[in-house]
Amino acid sequence: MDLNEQQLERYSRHIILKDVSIEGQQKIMAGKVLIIGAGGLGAPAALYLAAAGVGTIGLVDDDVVDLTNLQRQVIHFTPDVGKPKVISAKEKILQMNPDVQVVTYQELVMANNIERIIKDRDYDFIIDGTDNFPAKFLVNDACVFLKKPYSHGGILRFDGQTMTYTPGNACYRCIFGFMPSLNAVPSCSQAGVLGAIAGMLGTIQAAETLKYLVGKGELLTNRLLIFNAWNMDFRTVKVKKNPDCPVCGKKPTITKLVDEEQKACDLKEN
Amino acid sequence: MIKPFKTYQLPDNLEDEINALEQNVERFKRGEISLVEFKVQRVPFGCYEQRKKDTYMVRIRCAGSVVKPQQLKKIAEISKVHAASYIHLTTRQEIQLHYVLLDSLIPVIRELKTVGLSPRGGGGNTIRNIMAQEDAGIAADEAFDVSPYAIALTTRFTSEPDSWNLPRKYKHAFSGSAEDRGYASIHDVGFIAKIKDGQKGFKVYLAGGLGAKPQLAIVVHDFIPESEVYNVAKAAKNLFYKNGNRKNKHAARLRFVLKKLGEVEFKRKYFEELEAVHKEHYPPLEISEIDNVAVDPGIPVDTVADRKDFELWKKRFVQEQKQKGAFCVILPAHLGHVDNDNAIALADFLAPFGENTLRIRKDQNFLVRNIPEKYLPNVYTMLKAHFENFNQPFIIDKIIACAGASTCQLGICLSPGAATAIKRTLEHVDFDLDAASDARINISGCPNSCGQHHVGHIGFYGKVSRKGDKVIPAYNVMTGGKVKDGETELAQQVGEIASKDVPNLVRDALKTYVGKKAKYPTFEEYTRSEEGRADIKALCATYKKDSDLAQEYYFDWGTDKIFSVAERGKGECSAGIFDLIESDLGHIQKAQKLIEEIETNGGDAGQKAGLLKDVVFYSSRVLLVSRALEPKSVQEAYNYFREHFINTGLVEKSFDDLLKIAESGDFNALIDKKDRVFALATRMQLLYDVMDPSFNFQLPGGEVITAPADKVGMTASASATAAKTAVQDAVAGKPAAVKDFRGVGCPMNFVKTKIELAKLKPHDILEIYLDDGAPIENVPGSVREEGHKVLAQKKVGDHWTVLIQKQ
Repeated sequence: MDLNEQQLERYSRHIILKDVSIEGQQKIMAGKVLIIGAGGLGAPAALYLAAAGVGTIGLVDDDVVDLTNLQRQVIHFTPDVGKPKVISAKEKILQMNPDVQVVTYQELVMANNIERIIKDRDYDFIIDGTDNFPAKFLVNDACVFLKKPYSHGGILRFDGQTMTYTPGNACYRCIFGFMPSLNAVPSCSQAGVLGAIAGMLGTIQAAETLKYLVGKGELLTNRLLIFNAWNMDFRTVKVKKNPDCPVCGKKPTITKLVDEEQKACDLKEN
Repeated sequence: MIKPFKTYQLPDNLEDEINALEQNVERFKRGEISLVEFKVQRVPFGCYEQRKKDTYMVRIRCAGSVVKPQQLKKIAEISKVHAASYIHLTTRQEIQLHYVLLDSLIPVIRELKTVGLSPRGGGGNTIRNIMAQEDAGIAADEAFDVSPYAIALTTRFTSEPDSWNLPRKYKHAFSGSAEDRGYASIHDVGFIAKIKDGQKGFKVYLAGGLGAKPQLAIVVHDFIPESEVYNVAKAAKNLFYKNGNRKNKHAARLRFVLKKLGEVEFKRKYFEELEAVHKEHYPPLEISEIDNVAVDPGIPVDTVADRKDFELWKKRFVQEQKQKGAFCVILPAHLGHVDNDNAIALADFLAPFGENTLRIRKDQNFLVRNIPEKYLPNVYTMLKAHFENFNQPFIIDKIIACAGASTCQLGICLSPGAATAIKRTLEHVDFDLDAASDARINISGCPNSCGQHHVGHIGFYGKVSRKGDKVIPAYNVMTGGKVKDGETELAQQVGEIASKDVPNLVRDALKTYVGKKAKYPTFEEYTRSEEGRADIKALCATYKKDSDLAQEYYFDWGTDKIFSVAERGKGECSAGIFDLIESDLGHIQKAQKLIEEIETNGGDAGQKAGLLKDVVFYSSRVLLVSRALEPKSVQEAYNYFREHFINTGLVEKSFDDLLKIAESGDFNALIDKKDRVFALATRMQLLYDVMDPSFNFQLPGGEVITAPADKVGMTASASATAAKTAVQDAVAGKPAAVKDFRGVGCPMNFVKTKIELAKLKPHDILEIYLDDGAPIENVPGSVREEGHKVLAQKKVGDHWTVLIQKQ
């Protein structure tokens, strides 16, 4: 893909980077990324990926913009309240970078649609921007089954965690196994979240995506990055592929996608 | 009745030009035009970018040194809103605003227009401010007032489009008498007033100028009647317009036309132009005479408490004009800086005394004129209220310094820092400084003479001095500059001193002079005398220190950063680099001489071996600086030499053996190879001899070697057939692609270079064209960072060609 003059200028700061260069930018522009959840994590990730010139961005979310979202979901603006999130996000992306092709899926990811959505454009990379454990495990399982790399992300209060899965490396279930019980994790309505944390984590996910597309750099595979923004303390924990993992282990017990039971929190974390 | 006082008239099309510049500012902000394209628009409008990014200097034309009080007030008010906390008086009698933001440029230019001022022609290849001696119209010795001519010529020339598109900057000056206080004899075009047979007229000088290659102007007319001023100036302008070297801006001024054509042909062409001008029957300049009258504003007269200080001040700064009862007063402004509020106070003070009360001196101070004697106490009181230390011996604030390395790319030393250090030193001396009030001290940070060191009684210009393996800031010391019709002489070098010793030298020289004042009535006579020169030369030697310099010597005045040449821009400052080279050549010659002495007189073989090693080392190091390399160790010098001289074919491969011996430490092995060692030294001397100011090696036969030359033989005959002129023949292969990135700003030029490189195979060669300035300074380095090889870069006219080998 040859870049035109405007694209050369638009992406000049990437092209100048020795490790990105013109070849890397071309890969970014050929890239197809699916963002599941157009909320706190999906918003910054979508903005940076669009700015970077990712060729195709898929957005999955069934929700509409709510006033409580605006504290952290920076792709949606006040007049968007009541508008489907995927439409609101698509409008912003196209204003920012008309080169990007945006595909919207105004639906809730479920066991019966996630494979269809991922296969729809044969996405290269998936960002998990969901707000609840059933969805997070579902995204993980689907990516493992379809052998798709993805970035896991989660935020609560002042904390964030993220890791990157690529086929053959540790998956989310290798570390966490099964869903926590409802009592084990505080609900969002009790806990709250500092808006900027969403930006911190979403942009880390965007950076992982770009590195994956360019094919260079060290991904967060077999590493879990945990940070606490209140103390501004970052650390990475080494993790290993678990041979007893229920989904990617030697004798998997999960062999098809199912919708597990655990309610999403009331606060519409998307 | 006093005639209305008319300064220069703004051209009718100025508003259109401002609108056009405004559009270009907007286009630049939107990224539609590049840095270079914008620069081409703003510089001829007197707007220069400063070293602090995204800030601009605006240079305001003040024809004939005139600024009216209400204009000064407006300038200072504009400065308060849009610029620095001070205004700056220049050696061309202009006023500059500093640190103006991009968004403020157009508002500033529009505001200036409301008081009849414009920065148009403040920079670029244009008619620059036309000067007149600041005491024109009031000086007892003048033939007549020349300022109306400077003003009228400004009005006429600024309305002619070709004035903005000359080969290079172009400067005019008017003097009222043979004393040449307007510096006519060192200008491109200079007029000196004289009366012949009762008729007003001028002696005309052409093609003078200072700079790194200064030249006194030549006389083309002993006398022209005043009605001929325009025709003569027009003819000279046409001559310059047609013959100036537009390709090489370093050899473009009118004085280079004279140098190229020779005086006879130059004059022939000039008179040809004059004849053509006469056929056009242009109207003569509209001269409106200026009245110099001390106006009594009828305000209360101040009383001064400290009579003694008042009298001392009068002696120092006040003089009666040729108009009896009218007085002029010098207002010292250290380095030309005047705080905005003080400028406003001065303007308000002068307003009741009329419009014709203020001039800018070329020593960067104000000259107030037309003050009735009884109001001198009011001037004194005003100064006391607003101008700190206004009553010190004048020499303290009269020192002229260029902008120096803090703001100028070409600067080597921090000249304003040196001037301030001199001021501080002179403020605490135990001898009568007023006895040397005529002294002229000029400091340039580099050889380019922006501080006019060639006309100083003591002049300094910045250089790099090597002390062992380190460099220190230093100055060459000149004495004996003089400007006078028919007697103008440029100062001559008498020594060099470390930057740190400059204030002491000035103090000691002035003190020595004051002791001999009876013999030499003026400092000028003293510094031009045998005795004066010898005294100052001896003083320079007393400061000379070769080893164990105190830490402070490695720092220039006014900075806490250790001195280095690495960050200096290229260009005319390369003269500092030539100093470094000559220093190493000196070491080589000294060692060679000692070796021959040992051979003749006998001596220690070990010593001889050591000296041979010195020759190898200095030969290896001597020209590295031309490739912007500063080796930090002996080994690094050898490594660089191999990479940049031996491997590129500039020096034969067989010399590598000598380096290996020198590296091994067994210097005795060099004794048998003395002839080879000396041959290496000869080779380096030859390369230096054929190196041009852009560091290209112009080998005999007309070819230019800018870099690697594997295929190019060492001898003239071999290389003459191997290479033509372009750089590509100097390397092993032809470029696989040639791309023109002139007019493409940073970083897009680098982006495009990367894209072109991406298309090539490893080891292919890409040739690119880049603009001078930021592009050539940045792109080759960025390309190297990426691991590619920059084989050569060479200046061609106003741009560069760069050869890159993909890795």
